[in-house]
Amino acid sequence: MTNHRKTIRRFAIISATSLLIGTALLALSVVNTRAQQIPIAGTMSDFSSAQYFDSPHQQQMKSRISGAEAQQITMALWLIKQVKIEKFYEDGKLQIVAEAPECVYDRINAVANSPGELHIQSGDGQLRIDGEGFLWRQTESLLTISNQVQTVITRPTAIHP
Amino acid sequence: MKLKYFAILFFSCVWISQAQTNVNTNGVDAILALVTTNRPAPPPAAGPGAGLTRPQGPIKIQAQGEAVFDLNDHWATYSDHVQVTDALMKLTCEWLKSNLPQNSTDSVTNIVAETNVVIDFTDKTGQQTHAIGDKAVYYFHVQNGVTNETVTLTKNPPNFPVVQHGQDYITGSNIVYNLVTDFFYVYGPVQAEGWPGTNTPAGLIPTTAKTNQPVQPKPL
Repeated sequence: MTNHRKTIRRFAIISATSLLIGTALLALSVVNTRAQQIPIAGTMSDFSSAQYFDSPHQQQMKSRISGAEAQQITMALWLIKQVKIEKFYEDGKLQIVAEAPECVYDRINAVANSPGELHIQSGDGQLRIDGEGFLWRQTESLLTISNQVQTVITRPTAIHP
Repeated sequence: MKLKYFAILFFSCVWISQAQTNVNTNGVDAILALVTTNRPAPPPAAGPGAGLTRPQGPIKIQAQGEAVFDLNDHWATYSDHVQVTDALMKLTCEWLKSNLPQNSTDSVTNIVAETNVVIDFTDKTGQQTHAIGDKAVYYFHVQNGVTNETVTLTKNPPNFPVVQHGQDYITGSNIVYNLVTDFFYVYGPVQAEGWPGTNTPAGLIPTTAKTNQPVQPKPL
């Protein structure tokens, strides 16, 4: 009978200890998760991140992503508002400019994405692209638009007979 | 107007099929079907739309699905219910790749459309033609002031691309539409089916011309 009580007491102690440890681990994980989501550097205005061409055009800007406001989400991710993505030719001429209400920018991988709308215009105004949802890979200058893409290409002056 | 050229096309095919028996046609202004040649024929000096100006509206490309723009190499690919329209052409397909003009003097020069390709052409005189294939290649090139603008339609064997104009149709392994001259070039084996009169009621037995014989282009 005494052994039986001891067994019950041991089981109760073990259960209580396990419960405490589990609760502590859960609390730690919650704290850790929240810690990852807390903005590290707050909000900044006039965000801009640029990439440059390789030599011999290293002085020339290749592309730039900028925004009126940027909120740091994690060490790498920024939420940028009133986004402008510009891509330039090696001679400095503007190739395209893309505008979106907001996007998430991964500054480590130089990738921006958003489920929202995107409007693009070429530097000479002859190309217009609209769509919903995009992924911009800055290093490769590769733009993926997810849905409802519409491109309008204005043709140069008539050459046909 | 377009029907006239289909009729010419049809009679050309009849002439091709009867060539070995020395039966010739007369009054044929142009040979539109060139059978079993390996390269496109040069555009004729005067086509049905000669002297008319092709409208130069914008090119619109729409897609329900994903589009990828390679801004380094100046290419764009579109997928899922792709539709291309300009003033005289409407093309639908499932996948399309197009070059992107680099400056205001450039034009779209290369387009490749694949899978369930359907094209509705309108020539300079307003006549419409319907074409179906698996793959269409648009090519635009200006050299020495001469414009080459073609759409080449192909389909995986054993099927062939089809061009329809009203009740008339013609098939071949390759169909090339010259947008400058409004001529269709059909490369063999060619099969054409036509009703000589536009008002001929459907249901009459159509005349069919078939040939596998390589034939040299007939001088105009």
